[in-house]
Amino acid sequence: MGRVVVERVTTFKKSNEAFWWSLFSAGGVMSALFLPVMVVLCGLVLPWQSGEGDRRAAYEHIHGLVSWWPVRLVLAGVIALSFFHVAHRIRHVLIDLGWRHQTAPLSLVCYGGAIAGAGMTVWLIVSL
Amino acid sequence: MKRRYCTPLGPTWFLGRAGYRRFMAREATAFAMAAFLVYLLFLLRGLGRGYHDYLEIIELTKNPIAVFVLSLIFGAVLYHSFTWFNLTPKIMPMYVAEEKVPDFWAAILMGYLPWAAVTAVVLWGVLWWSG
Repeated sequence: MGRVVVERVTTFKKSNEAFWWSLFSAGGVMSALFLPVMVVLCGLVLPWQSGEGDRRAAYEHIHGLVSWWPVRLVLAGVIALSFFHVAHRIRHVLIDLGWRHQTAPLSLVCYGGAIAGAGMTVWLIVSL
Repeated sequence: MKRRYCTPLGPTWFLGRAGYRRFMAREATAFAMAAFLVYLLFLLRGLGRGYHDYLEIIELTKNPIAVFVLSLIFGAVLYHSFTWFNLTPKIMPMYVAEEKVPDFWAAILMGYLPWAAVTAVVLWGVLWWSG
């Protein structure tokens, strides 16, 4: 059997983990609080409303509600932070599933995607 | 050249134990959430463009495949909420007068009560608060 050489690591590479973790954590709270009700509303309630008049009224109401600036702020925070949450988790799942080498492109895609998603969110909400 | 020893773990390592499977199920909720977030972006775009664009996006959810996917997403999002609120007291213990609040109550105070409040306010805002 070959010798096992144990390398003692005395220095740590500088890491941005704490920064991304804080965004992950904030997004985790926001998504845990807001997403279940949003899935129910967007997926189950709004599509099945009957009657053209009701639907148009619902659209006008939701558009007005989402355009109100406190709602815009909250919604932008929820969606943008949730993007960072899922990006961080997906990155870690893929590392856990075996993507252990060359993780730089993985981080780039995950966090780059989150930044793009958050940017899109803010842009769409501002231009409502 | 620096060589690191990596334990040989296949991509199915987590199937071996119930705890690992629950861990992976929790982490995998992120994929479902990502899909829903992208859908939300399309919905926001539709909202901004007008009634017909909004309707087009919202009608997408009515076909049987979409209903199935949405139920999966709903399950994943719920699982995330439950696991997140149950973990919160372990990561952020709560103290009252030097006394640690039991995890059960801390999870209710920091997680489940705010969750109920948020859900109620959003439902009220969208469904009942129409003039």
